[in-house]
Amino acid sequence: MSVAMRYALDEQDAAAIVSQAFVKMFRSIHSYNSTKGSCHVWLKKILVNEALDHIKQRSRFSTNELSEAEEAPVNNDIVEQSDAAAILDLIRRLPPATHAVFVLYAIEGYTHKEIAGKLNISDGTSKWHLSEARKFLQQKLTK
Amino acid sequence: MNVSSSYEQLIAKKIAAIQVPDLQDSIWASIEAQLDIPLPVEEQPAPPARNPTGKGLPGTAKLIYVAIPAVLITAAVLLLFRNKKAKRKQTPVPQQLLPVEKKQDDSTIRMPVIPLPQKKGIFESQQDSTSVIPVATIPFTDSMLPVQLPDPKPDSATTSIAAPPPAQDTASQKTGVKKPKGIKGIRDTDYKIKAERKDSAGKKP
Repeated sequence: MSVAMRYALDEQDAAAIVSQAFVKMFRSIHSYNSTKGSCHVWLKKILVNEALDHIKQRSRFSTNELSEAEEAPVNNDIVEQSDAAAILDLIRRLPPATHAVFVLYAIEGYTHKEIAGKLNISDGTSKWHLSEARKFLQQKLTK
Repeated sequence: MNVSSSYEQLIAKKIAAIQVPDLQDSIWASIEAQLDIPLPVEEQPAPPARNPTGKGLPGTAKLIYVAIPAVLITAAVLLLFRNKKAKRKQTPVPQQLLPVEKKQDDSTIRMPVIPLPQKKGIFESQQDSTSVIPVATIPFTDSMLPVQLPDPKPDSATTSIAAPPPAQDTASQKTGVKKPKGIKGIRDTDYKIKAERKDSAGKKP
């Protein structure tokens, strides 16, 4: 549920993502291969894919190549002082594609190449979205 | 390579620590409701008949692909044979010079076959001193020859009754009054053309 919360706009949206992911898991349980990974990893993968599908439904992802923007530094103290819910609320206010890229890169730990493959965008576009997310957060957190 | 900055790591830690709302019951109810919905059965096309060998076309298709050409080839061969046979029957036998020798006493006509001379033409052969008249004829078959049946023997039971006359070939018999031929005043001898003899045999030295 906590994973779904990162991608969802609210709790109800997160609940919908989790339920959809479980339904998919039960229906495709025959395709589960224990040699490829644990059940927990498999379920998380399904959950992330389902969350990304939800985000994709919200907006179209631009396939155009976007130039990478300059990274904006954020003071750690500001982040530490901020409430977790407030940070999550800021992340949810990001544009859908930027939101997805930021969560996948900064929180889930995916590389730009992996993100590009998941979202069907280029590496440069992924970097651009990350840069946009950082700028937005820096602006909002420093205020 | 993922190089997240330190503030991003802080954000990740903070977000992971967020308490999850208690929505288990509603989530399970939603899952149950979705699983109870029967999946729409996709009508898949019937798989094609598998070839027992597993290679190439399926069995029936392969049979058709093999059988049809085989039947066509055999039909073509049969037609060719038929045509050849028909041609053999139709092809005229090389013309032969047959000396016509009629023996009145004998019931059958015997015609000795003399092969046509290869280099000499008909007119050249006419000038020969031989008495054989060259005639181009179609070979006689049994059905063409008049068959003379033996006279029926008188049966004891039928002796009193007049026996029917033996069957006779009407074509060969001359019946009734002979019709006058040609125009009156012109005799048969007028039609005959007498060729002068150029034969060396007739010349006297």
